[in-house]
Amino acid sequence: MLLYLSMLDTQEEKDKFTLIYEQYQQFCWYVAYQLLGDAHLAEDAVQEAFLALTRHLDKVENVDSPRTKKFLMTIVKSKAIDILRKNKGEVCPSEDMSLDIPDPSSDLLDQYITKENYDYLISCILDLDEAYRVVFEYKYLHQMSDTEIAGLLNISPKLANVRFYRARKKLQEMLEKEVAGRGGKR
Amino acid sequence: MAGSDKRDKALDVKEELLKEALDACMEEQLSFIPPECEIARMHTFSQEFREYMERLLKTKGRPERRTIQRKEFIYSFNKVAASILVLLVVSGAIAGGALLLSKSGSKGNYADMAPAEMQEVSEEEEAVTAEAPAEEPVDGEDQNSEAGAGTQEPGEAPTGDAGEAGVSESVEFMGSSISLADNQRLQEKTETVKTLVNSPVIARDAESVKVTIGNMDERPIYYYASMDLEVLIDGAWYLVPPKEKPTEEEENRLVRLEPGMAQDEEIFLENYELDYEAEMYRAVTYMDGLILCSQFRFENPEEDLEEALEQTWE
Repeated sequence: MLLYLSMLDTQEEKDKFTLIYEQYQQFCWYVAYQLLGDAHLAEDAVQEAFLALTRHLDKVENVDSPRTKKFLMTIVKSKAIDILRKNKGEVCPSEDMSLDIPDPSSDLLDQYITKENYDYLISCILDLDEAYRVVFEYKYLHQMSDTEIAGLLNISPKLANVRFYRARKKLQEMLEKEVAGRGGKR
Repeated sequence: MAGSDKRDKALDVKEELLKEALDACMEEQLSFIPPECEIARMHTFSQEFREYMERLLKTKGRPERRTIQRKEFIYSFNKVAASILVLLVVSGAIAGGALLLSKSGSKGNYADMAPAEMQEVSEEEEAVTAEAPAEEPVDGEDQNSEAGAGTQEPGEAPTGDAGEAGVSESVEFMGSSISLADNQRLQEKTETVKTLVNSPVIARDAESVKVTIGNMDERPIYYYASMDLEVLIDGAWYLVPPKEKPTEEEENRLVRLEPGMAQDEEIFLENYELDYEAEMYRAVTYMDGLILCSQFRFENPEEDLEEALEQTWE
């Protein structure tokens, strides 16, 4: 805790960080535990998440707001996924060796995102692999840049960008299937 | 122009919709999480977790990487050189005395031997005396002493041993200026922690250098996954900067190593401008309160061939 505090510049930031830590440490542990199923590993994920938070404290405006809770949730999830992958010796599903960005012309996700397909969209996001979901959450919900996302995921900005496009492609495939199966509109 | 504006607006709408859907999904996930007080009843943070925090507090995270001043370097060098000189004189006197005593004490044993046997024993003794320093145990405490002096401690990795006149704070290396490493004298191992490079001679086309960190302690250790690469130039170690600096997060990533376990870490060589002819490189690993190094060099086909031929002739 005090290590984290030493990395923060102003008293205001330290106060904010302390508040977040006190208020959400258990919540963060629970989120990590749900993914990892191991209390000890969940603690590791919490430590990593709070360390990461010290560098993105500017994203937190109000400690009590739901936005803060969601932001923490995304960070913890991404750290837990990282730990899970390392322990299993797995490569992220979104990084099958190649760093090629999928052809932009084949990115038709926007065509499937319509008000009519909103319910399908929700169900596909809920089914989406967490590794892809956190990329979306960082990008769209927390408005983070590729470089910021790369820093949080411990990968290069290029790989962060690749992961983002792969996540889009995966969501598109899921929506395609869903829409085709239920007679929705493209 | 108007068409492109329209398209942008449509994309914005879709992005908003995706954002809204993601938010809704997060809300749903959140709805399954019990309140803090309930989780607190389910889980108490472990002693290890707290100890980890305390240790981080004590060491203030990474061992400090401060920049050594030239004056400080020379002063340290003089201090270390003087200490070693005194140590050599004292140990020489003690060793001389001990040798005399042992010779006079063992004369009786040699009395019954044939001259040929005595010759053999004498040769064996000489061999043992010559080998002794390399077999002495490693001292793990004093690995952070600065500014390399020429003499090498037993068990300690070879160090930068430039004299004060030859040491510059920075040198030209592969077209850029690199700085003197903060710690000149580092060890490869202590009694409980060991670092080992996958091969002392690395192929020039190798993608990475693997460093194995072994924990022989009874408690877990924590080390930083991000290692430094240093090169030996004119007897002093200099920090080789990576082409792409690690992010702060990468740099601060701590790895926990359980007792009796070993873990491999890699230095990816494409991230460095390297001089394959350099005398020696070393990978520096930072741990809580400890800095260790493991040395290697790149293969030099001509020199290695010459060496092999020389050995064959001998």
